[in-house]
Amino acid sequence: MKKTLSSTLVALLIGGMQVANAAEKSYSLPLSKPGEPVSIDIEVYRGSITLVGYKGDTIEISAKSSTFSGKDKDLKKVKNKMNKNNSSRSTKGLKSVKSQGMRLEIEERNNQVEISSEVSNQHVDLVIKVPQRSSVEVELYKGGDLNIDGVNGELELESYEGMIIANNISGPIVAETARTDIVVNFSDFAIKTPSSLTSHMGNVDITLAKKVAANVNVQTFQGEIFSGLDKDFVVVDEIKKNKKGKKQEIVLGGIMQSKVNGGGQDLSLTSYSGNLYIRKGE
Amino acid sequence: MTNQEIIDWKIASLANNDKSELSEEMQSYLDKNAKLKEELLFIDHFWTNDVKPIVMPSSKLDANFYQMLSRAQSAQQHSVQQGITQLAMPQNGYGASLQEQPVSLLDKVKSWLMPLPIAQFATLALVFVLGFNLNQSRSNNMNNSDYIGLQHEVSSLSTMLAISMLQKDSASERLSGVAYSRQADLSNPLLVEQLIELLAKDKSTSVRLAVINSLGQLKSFGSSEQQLFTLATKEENLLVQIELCRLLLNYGSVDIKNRLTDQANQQLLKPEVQEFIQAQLMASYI
Repeated sequence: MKKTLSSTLVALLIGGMQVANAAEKSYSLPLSKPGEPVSIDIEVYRGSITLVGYKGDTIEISAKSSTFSGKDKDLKKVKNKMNKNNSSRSTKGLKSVKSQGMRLEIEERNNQVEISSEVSNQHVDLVIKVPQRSSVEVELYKGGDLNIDGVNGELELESYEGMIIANNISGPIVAETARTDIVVNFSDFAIKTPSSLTSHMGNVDITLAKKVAANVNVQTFQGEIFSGLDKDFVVVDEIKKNKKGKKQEIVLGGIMQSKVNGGGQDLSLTSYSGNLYIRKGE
Repeated sequence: MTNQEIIDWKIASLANNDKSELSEEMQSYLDKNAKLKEELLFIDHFWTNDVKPIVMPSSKLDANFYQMLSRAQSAQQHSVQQGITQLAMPQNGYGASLQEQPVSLLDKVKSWLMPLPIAQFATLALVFVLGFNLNQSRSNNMNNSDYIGLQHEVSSLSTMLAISMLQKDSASERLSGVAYSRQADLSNPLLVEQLIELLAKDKSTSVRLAVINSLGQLKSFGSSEQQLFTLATKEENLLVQIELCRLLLNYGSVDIKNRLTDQANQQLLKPEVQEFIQAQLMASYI
């Protein structure tokens, strides 16, 4: 999160509705400069995020939170430690009161929006409608998936435990997951700056619209590559030979490239143990 | 102390927003070098997007030639006038009656063929040709030195632009900066330093992998090799660690390759990395 952004609007939503131990809230955030570029920065510790691009000029946020059930490994460790230090108290005659509050911070200044939920024992499901032109940066640590649909600006996405699923986007996109898949459907492809999708242990699955022109680079160490493109992939790294031409170095797991529709900006797909799927769309 | 050192210092101070002043040694060097001063001013303006129109060096280069040409022309004009005066003087000496006599065509031809005007014309032509050639060669030398200077300037600007792109907030723009650095002067230590810093600290694996790919284009890692080795052995990101090992095994010195192999043999690295190094070594024996 950018620390320099001073807030002009801080909405601290503390929901009071009791819906089976869950709170639900909606908020409409008008932009300071309608029609101008929008930058959205979202950080959620635990939950899921769905971002939908639309033709409007406000940020529509819908949040549903619930108390975390406590099945997380990290939390268990904390609980065990606490149990050792604190002697258990009698709960006879008392009933359990679950937290019903939601803590979600929203800040906006000059079309720069920050949305964050960093409470570790809160699971929050966010559905956010944003202007199509928005540039979005998201970090999701635990919980569910990150879904994006119809956002045409620059995307920088990180999800540690959930999948990243992006549809109807043009990038540039830089996305990364640890063990989960990245699935991206490109309706177009931005030529401004490179795009890159990296999953350490998960699969990367992309679909390119027919009109997309790009240099698709692929690299996986223990996974496989499946391509539906007309153009073949060729090794980018040259095989090096020594001066006498007797010895040659073969690079294992090197980068391979396919120039789609004559080539264009770089689109790199990388995984250590996941498979890479490159599909041809409509 | 060299021009490049001062330019590098300037770029570094602009990149790090460092307001510190030049050292005494640098200042005294700079005081003696007006051209370098201009270059630093230009870099300053470029960095702050306040680019002023540049004075084209060609005007300076051409000035000497035109001055020479002008001198030659005026000398030619003067000598022709002098020739006319000299031709007229004997006429004056012979009296008014002679002046009034019409000069025949034969006399005119004879006067043209007199040795003095021919010698004068030949001398002038020689001076002009010599002057022109001398000026041309001087001008060429100046052109060459200016061309080299211009190349340095372009190289400095490319480096500066690459460093600026590498410091952007957006990962995609940093990726763009890494791609651009391949076209810039990778022999510039400042740029390599910036790339290695990005490799060590960037939160995006994509950017770090792209940096490793760019560093493969270096002719030699030089003093950065030890730094890269330390990064390779301490790295926690498996993808980055494997790519760093690949970089050092492919392009590193024999010593570094041996040290990396030792690390793998002593099982000091992740099992996946050890496996990768073994596979690389096997392949190199084919």
